Amino acid sequence: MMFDYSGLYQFLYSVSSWLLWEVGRILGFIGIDSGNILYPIRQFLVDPQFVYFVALLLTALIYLVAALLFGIQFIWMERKFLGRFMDRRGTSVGFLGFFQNFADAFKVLLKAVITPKDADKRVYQFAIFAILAVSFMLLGLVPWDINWYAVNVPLALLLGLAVFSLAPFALILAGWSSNNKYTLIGGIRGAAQLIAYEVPLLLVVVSVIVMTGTLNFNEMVAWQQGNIILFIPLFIGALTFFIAGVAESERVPFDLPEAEAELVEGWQTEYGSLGWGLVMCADYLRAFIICALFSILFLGGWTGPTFLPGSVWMLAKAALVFFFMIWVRAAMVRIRTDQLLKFCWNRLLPLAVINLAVAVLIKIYAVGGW
Amino acid sequence: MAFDLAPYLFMTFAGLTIAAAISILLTKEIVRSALFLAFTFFGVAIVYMFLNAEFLSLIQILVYVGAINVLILFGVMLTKRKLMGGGPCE
Repeated sequence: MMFDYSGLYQFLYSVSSWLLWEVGRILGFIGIDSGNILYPIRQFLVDPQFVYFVALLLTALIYLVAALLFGIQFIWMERKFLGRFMDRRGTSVGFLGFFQNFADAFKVLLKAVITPKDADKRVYQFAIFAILAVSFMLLGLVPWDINWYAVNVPLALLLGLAVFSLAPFALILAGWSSNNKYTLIGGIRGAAQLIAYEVPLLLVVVSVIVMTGTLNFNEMVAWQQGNIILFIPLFIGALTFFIAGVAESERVPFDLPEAEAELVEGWQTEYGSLGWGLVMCADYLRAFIICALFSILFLGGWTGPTFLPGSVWMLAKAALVFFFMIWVRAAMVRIRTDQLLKFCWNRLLPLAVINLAVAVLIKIYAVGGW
Repeated sequence: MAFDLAPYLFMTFAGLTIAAAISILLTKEIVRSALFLAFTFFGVAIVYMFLNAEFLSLIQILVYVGAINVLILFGVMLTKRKLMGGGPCE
């Protein structure tokens, strides 16, 4: 059986048609003739729509596993690089310390699930599912190469930002339902921060849309391949997007929602066991999605010399941006709440507006008018 | 297999939206009302999607679920919780 490697769906379609054919052969459905009473089942197994449905299920499964592995891999990367920044070795279990995170994941898996007695149990459980769902859904929206994507809709960027904007709601619900003052303060801080920093983030994204004239990731990358990678003309915007992205993923210097010295662990204090492990994973996944969006919007996505496939370039660029996030974490200290909000409204918002003006001027005078 | 699911899906989501909207009024706990309000906004966004208004649907999610609802939750959190007969606030 030859598999078709030209794209994710073509590949999974060929895999699932092969899989169904093998299942049918082993169970003895394939050989029977049209007179047999089981013939409709045989027809069902080779039906293109059913094969497509199985391919969709396989896509969802692959994306779930990939999301968890991405989370674990970036936790490893951060631990290792933070160790080097602090002049120590970082994790050292297994190959380059890579197995430490799997050990931690199994440890978290084996812990008892405890729900606080006075918590609002339904909302408590719903909040964690909402956070995980919106975080893992984001991974499916980012394309990795020209044909390797889970969904490719005309409004892909807007869809991604809409899914991204659901997080504060889930955060504040998680903080409230745990019935603990620290989680409540953490949830309110988290939601306030995420909502505030969404404004410069969206304004910068608008400038990219003005330049490229599209909301589709593939067309944005194609525009950058044809003209110039947007990091050069929109340098201010790229910087603003990076800072707002660090704040959106609640990392140091903007990790006020989980300031350990004041709030124990922020809104996730009362979550234990697998729930906490998955939320941790989703946190890193969100940070990584910001990095992937940065590399699509400003660094040309999968553009690169052809001796490596495009998806490798895409992953390498995202990992490079994530390295800068780790660097920021190693170099900075946590800021106060008033500084956080002043920084957003007094510094980042004017920078984003200036960047939008630059984009409009370039579009009118350099790229060739409307 | 030429079976059009769209009307049945539309009816399901419209029904869920209406059920969520009624639940807003029937729930005693005000934060749960806000949660059902989010479900209602979400359901309206899905109904927009069925009407081929994808842009409007995404803006509905971005603005109403992402911003307005959080604003309502802030309003609830920053006022006294004793009002609805719940336990005293911390």
